[in-house]
Amino acid sequence: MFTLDEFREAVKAGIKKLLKKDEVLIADDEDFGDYGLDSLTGMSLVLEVESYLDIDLGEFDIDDANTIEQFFEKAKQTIEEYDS
Amino acid sequence: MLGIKAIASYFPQKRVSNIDRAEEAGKDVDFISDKVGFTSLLRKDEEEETSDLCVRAFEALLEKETDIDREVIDCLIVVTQNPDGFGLPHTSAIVQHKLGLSEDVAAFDISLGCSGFVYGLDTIQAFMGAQGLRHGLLFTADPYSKVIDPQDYNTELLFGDAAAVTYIAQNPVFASGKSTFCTNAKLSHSIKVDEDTRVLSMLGNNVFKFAVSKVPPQVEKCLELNAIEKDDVDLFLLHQGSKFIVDNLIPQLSIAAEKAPFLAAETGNTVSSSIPLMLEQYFESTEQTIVISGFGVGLSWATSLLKRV
Repeated sequence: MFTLDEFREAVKAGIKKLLKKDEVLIADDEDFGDYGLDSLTGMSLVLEVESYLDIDLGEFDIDDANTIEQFFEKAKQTIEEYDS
Repeated sequence: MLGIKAIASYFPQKRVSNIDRAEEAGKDVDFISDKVGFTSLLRKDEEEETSDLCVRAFEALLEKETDIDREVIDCLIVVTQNPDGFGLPHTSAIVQHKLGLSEDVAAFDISLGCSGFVYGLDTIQAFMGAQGLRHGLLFTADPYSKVIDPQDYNTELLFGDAAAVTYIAQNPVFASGKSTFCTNAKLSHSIKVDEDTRVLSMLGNNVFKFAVSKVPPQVEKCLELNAIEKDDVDLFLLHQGSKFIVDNLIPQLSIAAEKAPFLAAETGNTVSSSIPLMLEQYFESTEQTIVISGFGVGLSWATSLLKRV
């Protein structure tokens, strides 16, 4: 299982790639939408995080996980459900 | 040798502007034009049936191929999941009647969505080859306006109505190579029509993940089967699910963007017609080797190779 630090790193790496930014300064509770990610880019972000952490989040919907904190919690819960 | 001799299409007159209703849909105009990619959608008239779209496409074919004799058509397939009425009788039989074709016609429907053209193309050629048939019509017509909830902007901004007819005969312009076909019904709920409401629902995240993870390896496998290098392919005609999907497939396939065009901005996702509509545009051009790949409902995905003869 990944830690919040690892997950944050994965999300930031994904955002950096998707939004073509040199640096990503996004707080854990900052809304992805406010940072420039739309619903479609959000789908790409899920794939980027999966690839970065080498995990499979299955039918993951990021629409109700709009911050790093929420995304982390939902991803953790998803992985735990798969494992159980 | 049997192959694609001609392609024609029918676009309904009515268009719905996605730009004009961006605000109503709660979307930015840039999001619609740059990401979704469909600035307008084709819409059939309410009274227009799926078979009528096919008839119009055939009329367009007759304008291109003036020497086609209705009497010699011996095979007719309609690819659709939105047939006339409730699908009984089959739409291909209705089309046979409306076109005034002879009784000596094998006519059947194929129930597939966005992978339907690739499946249909192999099916009609194999069937005709096995039975010694000589003049076939492969129709694709899947008017999703029949099943879309106008208030559901997850689907309402995507799908357009259109039809295409692909004429299969001897001395073709394009011949098919080997194809690859895949199915994963575990994710079938990702695009489905609800049994009770008869309305389409789609899980966009599932469809996107499926497309970018499954299509590129299938394309690679198809190239391998045909002993073709990627660099030797002139054009990749990928199903036009959305601009976002096509744009994301390009880097996954490691190909130049201009080799995988997005041409559906003013039509919408026309399901099984999206590939023949593009192929029609390139019919008289110089591209020799073309990969076609359709993916969607099922989930089903299929890829084939076409070579100009």
